Amino acid sequence: MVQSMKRYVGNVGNTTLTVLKGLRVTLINLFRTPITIQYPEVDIRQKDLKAFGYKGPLGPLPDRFRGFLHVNPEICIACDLCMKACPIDCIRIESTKIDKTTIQGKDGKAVNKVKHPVRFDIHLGKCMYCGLCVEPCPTGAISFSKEFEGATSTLNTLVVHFAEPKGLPVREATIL
Amino acid sequence: MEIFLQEGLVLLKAALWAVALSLVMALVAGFLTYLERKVAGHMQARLGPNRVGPYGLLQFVADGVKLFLKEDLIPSDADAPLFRFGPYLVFVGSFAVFAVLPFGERIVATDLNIGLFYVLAITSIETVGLLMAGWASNNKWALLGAMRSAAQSISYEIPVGVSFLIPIVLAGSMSLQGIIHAQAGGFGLLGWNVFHNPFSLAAFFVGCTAMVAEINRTPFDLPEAESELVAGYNTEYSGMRFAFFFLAEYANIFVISMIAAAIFLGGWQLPSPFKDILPFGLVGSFVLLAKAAVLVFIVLWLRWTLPRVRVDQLMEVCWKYLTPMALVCLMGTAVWMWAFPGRIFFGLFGTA
Amino acid sequence: MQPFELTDLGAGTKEMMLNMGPQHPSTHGVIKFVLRMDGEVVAALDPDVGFLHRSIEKIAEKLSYPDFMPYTDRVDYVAAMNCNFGYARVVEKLMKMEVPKRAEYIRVIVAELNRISSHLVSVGTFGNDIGAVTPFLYAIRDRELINDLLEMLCGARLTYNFVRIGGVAFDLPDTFKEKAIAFLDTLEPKLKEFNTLLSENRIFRERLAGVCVISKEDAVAYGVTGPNLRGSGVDWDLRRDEPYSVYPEVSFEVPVGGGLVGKVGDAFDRYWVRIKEMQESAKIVRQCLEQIPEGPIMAKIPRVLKPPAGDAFDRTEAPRGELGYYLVSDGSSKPQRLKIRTGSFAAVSIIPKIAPGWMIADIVALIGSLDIIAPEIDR
Repeated sequence: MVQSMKRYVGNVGNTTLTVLKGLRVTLINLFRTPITIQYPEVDIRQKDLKAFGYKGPLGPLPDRFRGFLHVNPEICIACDLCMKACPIDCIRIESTKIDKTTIQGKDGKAVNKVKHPVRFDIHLGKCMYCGLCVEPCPTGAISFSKEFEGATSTLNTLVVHFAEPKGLPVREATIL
Repeated sequence: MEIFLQEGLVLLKAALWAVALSLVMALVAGFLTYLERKVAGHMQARLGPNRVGPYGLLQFVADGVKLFLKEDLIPSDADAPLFRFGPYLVFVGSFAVFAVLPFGERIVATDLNIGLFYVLAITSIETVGLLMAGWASNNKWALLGAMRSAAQSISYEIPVGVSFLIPIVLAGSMSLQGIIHAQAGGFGLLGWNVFHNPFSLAAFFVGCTAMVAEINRTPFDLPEAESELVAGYNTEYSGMRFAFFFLAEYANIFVISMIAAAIFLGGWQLPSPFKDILPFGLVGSFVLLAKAAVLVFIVLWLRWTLPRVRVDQLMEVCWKYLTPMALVCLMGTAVWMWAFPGRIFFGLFGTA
Repeated sequence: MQPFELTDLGAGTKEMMLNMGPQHPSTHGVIKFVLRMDGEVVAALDPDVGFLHRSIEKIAEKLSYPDFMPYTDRVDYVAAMNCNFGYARVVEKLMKMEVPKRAEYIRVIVAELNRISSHLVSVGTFGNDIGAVTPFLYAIRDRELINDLLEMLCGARLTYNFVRIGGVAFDLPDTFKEKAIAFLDTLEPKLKEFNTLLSENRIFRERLAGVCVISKEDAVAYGVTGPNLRGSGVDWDLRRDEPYSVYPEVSFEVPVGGGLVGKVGDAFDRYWVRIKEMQESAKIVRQCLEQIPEGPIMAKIPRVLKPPAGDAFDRTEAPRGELGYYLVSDGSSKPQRLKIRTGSFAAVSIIPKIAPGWMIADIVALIGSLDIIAPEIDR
């Protein structure tokens, strides 16, 4: 009898105590700085989020951020390594032979350029931003940008033409 | 002729009160949805609504408009008449209580002499509405939610009722205004029923817990337990009908806070010098609303802190803990009144 | 689908068939459970999986070895690093490749960080299943910092594709160590706060004490692995008992369920093992950051990987149990067959055995405590 009374009172006391402890935690958190970044008011592409009035612990986009792919056709040697590396085949390259020039490579070595891309399409709607295409590129022509806003009303606009095909009908160019 | 005029005036007065109270209810419930989201947001390291209007204050208006404009949807296999009727019953159960809520010393729609009894009785209509909605939806989740709701409301009415008896016993009146009048004294503070004796203090907590369960709030939100029953009884509801459930739910938070503030925390009682600063006892109204606001915040606070109990535990809490405790409190108060007639706890060694 | 005969319960009442899922807040992804219910009590349960099947194993046969790496992210997207790790290891085993020490350390660091973030999601959603929403947000808040760390390292927040066959993709950035240590310093107080809010709460404990007990024998018989197995009291952790990578060089404890509030192997034990494991993982990351040697991060690998014909199996300790890859090579540049064994699949297979007799709220607790996740079941 005494034992069960003790347990009864203990249950009530323990429940009340733990509930109060929990309430204390949430009350403390009520006055903490929220972690939310108010996108798009706070531009996370910028280095300093504090300039936008953000006080939380999160940081801006890092240097290695994998946003949309970007291609510089001027230094592209059309070696097709990125096209072969892509697991989902969202890159399409067509090239023509040109006179040999040399280009400064990613690792400092000179790279010969004998081909120039006449067509360099990337389907950003298919791309899964894995980065396998960026790694083998000898010249750094294909790289990640910090852009990530890709909402669009038509799928075709997600096919980006980094090198415009000349003489090809535009409609064909959009199909990968 | 004169009798018609009199009747007409009474009806007109009632209609005006009804319009005013429905506006109050809509505003209060709307603001509470905003407050809930804001409190939840900041407790959870988020911001809560902040897009519509300054600090997101107009969010509930936007939500209301959205719900109002939504398609009127009734599932094809639902029992259409009951499905339509359910939300209104729930709404009425909640709205009718506003008729007796004492907003101030002189601001009350009607001061029924069976006020508290009326509150208990009219709120149980809601259970019927919920059961109706859950059954008529022809959805198994909704049915489970409705059954839980019925079991819960019926069980928890007992501790609520018994703890309501304590202020009734202390005041010798069932009228809410009568109970508040009886709490006069001691700087407008010591006369409160919570401070009358240890038993009434305990009854306050027991009653509040039971009332939180009565209105299906966390940790007793089993009828709409999101992670178990998807959305419980209102799974199939959308648009205006859902808005009625929503309105009733948030109005209920306000109602229980007001009632608890009125019958345990002294209502609009104030020391006499402060009483007459504003006409109509408006200072008292603000004091009462402030007390209610604190209780409302605690109800919201509890929701964002606690996990949910299980069905069997819910019944256990009711029958093994709250009901016996409420009964002990009632008997204790009675014994106290017999042993120390007319004396409150703090005035034990003097006269109250 | 009507897999059950509904029993007549007498007095004009009948059992009820209830479809829990595929869209249900507590099934953690698109899984369906068909329940036969007597009121709120479950009489029988039948899991219906496959809604998230993406034929990852078949895709592997069509891609070259390195190209498959991004797909392993999607095997368990809550712990992508661990899936990367396992796949890289099995290809290296097939090719008998030596991985530089520094790369191994980086792999263990990211795998353990990912384990913490995965367990945070697990305990957070578990709290949400029990009805406490706020702890879930706290867990997600803390996980966000890990995401930031890993994003700094590899540029992605969820599907990292960071581990490579023969090493890792990037070296640690300069500020990584200090930021990681700063995070680990905040993790401990935050876990304490989490425990005060949730684990020590009486309602939470009452909900889980002695609920859905998985006995030692059952756990072993059904092939349940990882925290679920340890929650049942079986002291088995691949990182310690079949050590791989640099785990032998770090010291850590293996938490085992001990029936803290109820019986050994109940829902609370499985939950508690995860909380404890986060602390152990933090310990491992700290040691690795201290011990990490300088050196290359990639082994010398040929441009086109052509492993010799043969097969290899390798298993690692992922957050949701043992993650096994079985790889068959025919000597070409593409795998002939890849089989992935995941912890969630075994965990979901034990649910029908445990579920009968418990209430629907307990089923939610069971699913949550097993920490099953749909992509890992279906692949």
